[in-house]
Amino acid sequence: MSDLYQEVILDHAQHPHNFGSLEHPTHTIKDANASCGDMVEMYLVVKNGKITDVKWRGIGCAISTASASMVSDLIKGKSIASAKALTKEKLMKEMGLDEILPTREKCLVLPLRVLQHLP
Amino acid sequence: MRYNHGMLNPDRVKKDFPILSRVIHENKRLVYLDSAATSQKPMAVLTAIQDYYLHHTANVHRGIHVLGDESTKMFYAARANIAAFFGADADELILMRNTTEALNGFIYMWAERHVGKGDVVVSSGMEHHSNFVPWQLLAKRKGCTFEVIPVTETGELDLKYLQKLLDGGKVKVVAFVHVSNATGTNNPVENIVKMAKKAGVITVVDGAQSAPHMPINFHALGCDVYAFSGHKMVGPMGIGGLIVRKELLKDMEPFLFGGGMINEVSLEETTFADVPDKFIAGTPDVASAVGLAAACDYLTSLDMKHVFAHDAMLVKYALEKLQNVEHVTVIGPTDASKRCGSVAFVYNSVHAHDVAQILDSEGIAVRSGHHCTMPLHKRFGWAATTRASFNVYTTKEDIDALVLALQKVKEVFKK
Repeated sequence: MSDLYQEVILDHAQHPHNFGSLEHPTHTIKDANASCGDMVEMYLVVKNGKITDVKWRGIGCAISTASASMVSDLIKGKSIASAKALTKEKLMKEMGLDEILPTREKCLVLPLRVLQHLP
Repeated sequence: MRYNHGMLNPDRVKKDFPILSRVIHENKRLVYLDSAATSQKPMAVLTAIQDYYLHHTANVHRGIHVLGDESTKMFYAARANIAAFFGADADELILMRNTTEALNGFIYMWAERHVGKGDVVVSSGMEHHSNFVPWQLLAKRKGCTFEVIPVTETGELDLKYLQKLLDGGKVKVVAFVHVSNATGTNNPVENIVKMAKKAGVITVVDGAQSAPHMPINFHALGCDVYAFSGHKMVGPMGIGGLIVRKELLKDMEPFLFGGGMINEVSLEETTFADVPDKFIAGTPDVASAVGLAAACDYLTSLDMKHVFAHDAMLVKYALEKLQNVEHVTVIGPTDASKRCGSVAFVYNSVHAHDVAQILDSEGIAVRSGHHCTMPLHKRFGWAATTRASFNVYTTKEDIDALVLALQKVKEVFKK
């Protein structure tokens, strides 16, 4: 079976963390892989430069969904700068991936691209 | 289990394609079901290309030497051969890189000069982007109206809507796909051409997915323009063609200028070569033309009638099998006789990329995504679909392998 579908990825893909929306987000950011039909929209509450709450909605494959779920965990309580500095390598480590196929990298990094829309 | 595949002998055909004996992921037989994206190439095509480069390489038209003569002869023979395969005259075929370049080229060579304000150009809701976007942009450039033939619930073109457009009297050109690369719909070209002709409207047919699977006779089909890609019909990448009805060629002007396409150049003026050479500027891809001619010969040796019957059998079989797989919904016409070349589907709540990835781990190559048909996918609300597509070397065993591997999708996602 494909090494891509690690337990941790499947778990996040099927039970994504922080899935939903916020009533009064201070920031709403969004990006998409039009060619795949993947879309991620994130809702953030930022207070005194810290991300105090985060929810997200989206459609996409298991990889982009798991990635968004993990990213939402990782950025909670962090500053905008450190959220934007989150790397692909860090994310892959969290997911238990040693490598990512070139055809699936864009799925993995979509949530990171979303974060780049922060001011 | 052994199947009877009718007129084509799949064991013999498979042997002609060396790549199909590859073993991938250590121990999986390669099951190639992505032929609508590009087909594999038989040994005869690979050998023809190598033979050209090994023994005959020289530029065409000019070298007054043995190799120059051979190369020029081979180029013209290849062009005549390819044209004959499509039932067209040799001077009706403009060799181009692929269907996309052919369709765009026709717009530059003809539409740019013959479509203007007040005119209507028509495309359809099931087009590949290459027969949609160039027309949409032309309309914006020229200030004319861009109309789209809608797709019905059953995945067919709404011809009543087209008739209404034609009755409006402003339509200049109707561009539509012969066989859809997404829904697999085999559109009734003759009917549409008849409707358009009555209204005096030019027809442009995207033949990328029909050329590999059925006998095409350009003159019998009746359309004004037919575009195709060599690489989808067991030929090499980088060569395809634009076939244009002789009378219409007179209304076209070149859009690429330079070597090979001129008659005489002075400081003040340039006159062009004869049709179709005046539409081909620069050194042509002679080796690929030779390779495509070899592909045409190969398909002719199988007999395109048998190729069509083989495809019809595979489509019917895949449709039946896939319709019975849990969580799978096939897209496009449910009537197999209205389809050709491929069967695409949605797997309930699993994204097409995940389906394709898991199938790949079982050795099965399919295509996932929107297949360059975003308007169609939006129309039906599909985020992405998974497509199994066929060619002469595809067997029922390949489809069985796909159906079996779909069980893995269920296992991984614990359905």
